[in-house]
Amino acid sequence: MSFADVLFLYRARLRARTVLIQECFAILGIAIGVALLFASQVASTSLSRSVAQLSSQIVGNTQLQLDARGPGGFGEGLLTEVRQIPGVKLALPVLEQQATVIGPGGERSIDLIGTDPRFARLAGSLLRRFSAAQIAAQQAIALPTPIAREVGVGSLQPVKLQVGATVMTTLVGATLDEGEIGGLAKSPVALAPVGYAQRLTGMQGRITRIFIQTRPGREAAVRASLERLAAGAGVNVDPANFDSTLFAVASQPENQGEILFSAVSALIGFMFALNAMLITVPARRKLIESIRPQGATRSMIVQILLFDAAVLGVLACLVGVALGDLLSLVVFRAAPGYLSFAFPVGNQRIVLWQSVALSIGAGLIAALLGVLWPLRDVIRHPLQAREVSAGVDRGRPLVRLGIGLVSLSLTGVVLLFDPTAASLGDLTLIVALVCLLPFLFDLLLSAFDSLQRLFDGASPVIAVTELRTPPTRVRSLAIAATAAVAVLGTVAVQGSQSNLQRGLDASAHGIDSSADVWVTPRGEANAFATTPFRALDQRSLARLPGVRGVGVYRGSFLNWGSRRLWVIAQPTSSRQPIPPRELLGGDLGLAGARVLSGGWAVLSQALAAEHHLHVGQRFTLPAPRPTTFRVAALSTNLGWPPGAVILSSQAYARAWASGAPSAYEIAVAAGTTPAAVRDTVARALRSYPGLAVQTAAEREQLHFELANQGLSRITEIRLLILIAAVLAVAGALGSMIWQRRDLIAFIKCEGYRRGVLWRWLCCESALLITAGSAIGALFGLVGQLVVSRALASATGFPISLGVEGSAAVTSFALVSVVAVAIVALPGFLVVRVPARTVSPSY
Amino acid sequence: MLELRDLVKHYTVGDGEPIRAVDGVQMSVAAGEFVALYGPSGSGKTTLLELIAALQRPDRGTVLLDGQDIFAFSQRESDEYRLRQLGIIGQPQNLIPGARAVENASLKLWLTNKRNARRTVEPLLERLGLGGRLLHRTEQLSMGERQRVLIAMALATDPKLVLADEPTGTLDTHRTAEVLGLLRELCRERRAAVVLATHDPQAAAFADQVHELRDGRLQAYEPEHVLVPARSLSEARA
Repeated sequence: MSFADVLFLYRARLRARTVLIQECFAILGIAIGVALLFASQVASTSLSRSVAQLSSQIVGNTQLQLDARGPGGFGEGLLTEVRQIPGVKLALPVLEQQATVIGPGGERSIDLIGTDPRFARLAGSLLRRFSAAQIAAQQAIALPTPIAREVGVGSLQPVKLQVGATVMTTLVGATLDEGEIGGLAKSPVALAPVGYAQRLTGMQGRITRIFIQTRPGREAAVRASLERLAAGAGVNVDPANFDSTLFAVASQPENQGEILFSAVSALIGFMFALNAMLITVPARRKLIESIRPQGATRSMIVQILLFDAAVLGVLACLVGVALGDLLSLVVFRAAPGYLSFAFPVGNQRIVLWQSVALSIGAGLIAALLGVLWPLRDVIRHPLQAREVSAGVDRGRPLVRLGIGLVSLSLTGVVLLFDPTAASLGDLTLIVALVCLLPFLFDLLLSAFDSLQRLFDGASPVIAVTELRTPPTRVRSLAIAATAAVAVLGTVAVQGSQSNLQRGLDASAHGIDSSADVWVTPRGEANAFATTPFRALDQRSLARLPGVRGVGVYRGSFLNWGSRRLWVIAQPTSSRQPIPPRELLGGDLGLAGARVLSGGWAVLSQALAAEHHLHVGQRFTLPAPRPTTFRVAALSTNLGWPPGAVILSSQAYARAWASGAPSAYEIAVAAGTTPAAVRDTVARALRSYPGLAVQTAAEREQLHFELANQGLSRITEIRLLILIAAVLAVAGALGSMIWQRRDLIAFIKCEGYRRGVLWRWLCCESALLITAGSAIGALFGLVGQLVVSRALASATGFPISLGVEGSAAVTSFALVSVVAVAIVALPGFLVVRVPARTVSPSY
Repeated sequence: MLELRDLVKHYTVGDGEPIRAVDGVQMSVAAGEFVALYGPSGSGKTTLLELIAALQRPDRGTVLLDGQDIFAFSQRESDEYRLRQLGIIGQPQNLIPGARAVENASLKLWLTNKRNARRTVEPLLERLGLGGRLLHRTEQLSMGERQRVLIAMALATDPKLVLADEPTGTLDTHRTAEVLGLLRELCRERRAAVVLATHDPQAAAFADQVHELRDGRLQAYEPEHVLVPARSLSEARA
């Protein structure tokens, strides 16, 4: 059978409107799955690649870097020593500091990068462009055009720059557009000559990095020399692109969470696709049963089916990728803001060929399986299908029941005894759902059947009879399964997201409530209080009315191995140095006292596990002045994915050789309120426009919003699953109803009125969807616990375990009501078909 | 040309009760001969046709076509046998929905990868009185017309043997006579033998030879009704 004949046959079949509509539904179903997968892939890769892209555009051909351990950097005298090392071809000084640009149109956190334009031509393309820019010798900064536009400034216009608590005015010497620096135009950076950057940041004579290019074959020798140099200077020697590694670790929990949720989306998308394909099965089965006895060989049938699958798959993938692209543009845009405090995370959209290939591959596999799997018996035993299936079917339900029960038991075991195997628990739960669904469906159907007998109505009777009819059962179960998996997905995702949200909120509350009022540098970039600023007169603050005490809080990020840790240094006056709910090992009171006494620190559990540390053991923190601490207790990661260290403010000052505060913690005297004290302190500090004064509650709110922002993509995934579920289920139901026209025309000969038939269709749809959704919601509640456990074990995030029943009820009600409301229209149209005495075909 | 020797096919239904669908059938059909298998529903007609088409394997006995045992064929040879030597006239529901009359009739030619399928089937469809309905889709054809498209599909590959299972089950008396008259005429021209399974004595009357099938056994045929004599195409059209 030639390709032309297969094509001709396909085109001939497609002329039937029913077949065309069915094929369109199948394409839509697969496209939704492909779109979900593609959009979540693009969102994930955009996040990690934006940092890697920026890193590579800065480091260029350099191989190594000397990296400061603290925000204070190191003396630039080290640069001369590096340049004198034999084998060093280039040593590029860089001063990097978190800052905020403030313009008339708004403000934006950026990574201020100062470098030496004379050598920048040897670095990456971003700095090469900078060397040629007109600001090279000027006292000005260069901003990417989108950032400049966002804050409302243009070239050669003044702009305010806040570094720490200091706000100063500078000039935008140039704006760099996409034509010049490509995708990096969307990166949150500002470029300046290193000397000027030192002036802006108040770090004269200091830099934070030196990028080094070695001569061929000399890298190992240079590295050894650098390590000797670094040991004396208290700096790190790392690969030039080490930021990508650090970011990969930092974004891993976020990615793992998204992978988990994307996997749920992909599974649901796949179910949509299969379900949509099942609608087309009867037509294909009929075709095979028609042509097989005429002498069509098995290979001919496979050729015809493969062609069908290819057409469906290719069209669906094209539509799906376009739809996914749109989704990633419109919906999946929010980058997790909290990561931008420690990394220059851009909001560029990066589409990798791997994302396209993965999505298309999944779509084609779904189409292939959807076409071939339901017809495997006809392909394998085309001429004895009835005999074979009759024999095999007898044993199948029992096997399914057995697999379902074993899978459910396995899920329970995982949940109770081994949370680390939670991904296995997710899988077994879905297997259990798919296997047990027919039995639970029959159970619910029987319950409805008993109930409907109390009322004397024809519609429910026909609905129940139709749902029990063998020819339509597979299709009915497929639709119920789609609703069930979709509701399971949304309930599990929503519940685990709520658990995560509650955990993060509790962590933020624990940290923020250690003071009544906080004084920190203004701007979102300082939300974690990690930027040092010039010390205030602490005694004057303490004398303000309503102030009971003032403590110096210090904090920053510190690279330890491949983790960029959040260092929290609590003042000795802190009433709660360790957030109580975050403690995973150790005694809260004792650990708190030990931390404040100095020499002890609380470590995140994952970090301690990585370094094989237990409570009481000693370790050396690789601070600018490496210092030995003992482990006072173990905690969660406090919402910062790579982990956190809690120590005393005084110990921090010694280890970082800096007395600069990152925040002031103010305790309020009895008889006054935090808000009143906030106002008093704000008035006293009005000559410091770079400082913000907030009550603990206000700061908490900021952190809640940040946590929300970090979880926004999960919310979007959940909403998309729900929308896609409603559309897919409604589509499948609509198509199923449309296929009933012959049957309805036949039944009408018996004298049934339109109203009865319409109510029958609505009743049948409602039964299918509510049964599927109810089963999905039930399993979803277990799924919440399993996914939450999976997240807790995979990410180390603080998670508050609980079951969110409202999520189950909402998802169940939404899918059921909306889907039934949508199918009411095709139902109304179909029952208008004139009565005909033709035999109904399924 | 076709010889059935001691053909036996038994089934077992759900509760273990044996059904003798075909029970020791012996029959011969010569080239160009029109044979009717007459019997009520459940008498074994369809099973016998499926055995002749090698769609099922017998418990015992054999079917010889031009001296060749069709049950000795491999799967591929069985497919080839059905594709090139048999013409099977199925039910009108088996036509591809949406496809045009000429496309449906060309189906077997597509399967045999034969070029110019349309040029082959168009004259056939015209002979069958469908000249003006070539481009009509399945849904736009009457039951009688669909049946004639099925005849065209079965004869398009010039088969040696045509098997027809209740081809006029959905037609009225007039249409039955018309369709069977055409089938007989075209098969005679092509020297193709026809085995027709029917429960309709009027349809059986078109045959040169009628065998009655009861409980899987061939019996002497005793017509119970006055049969309408076979008519030619021109008579039927008139």
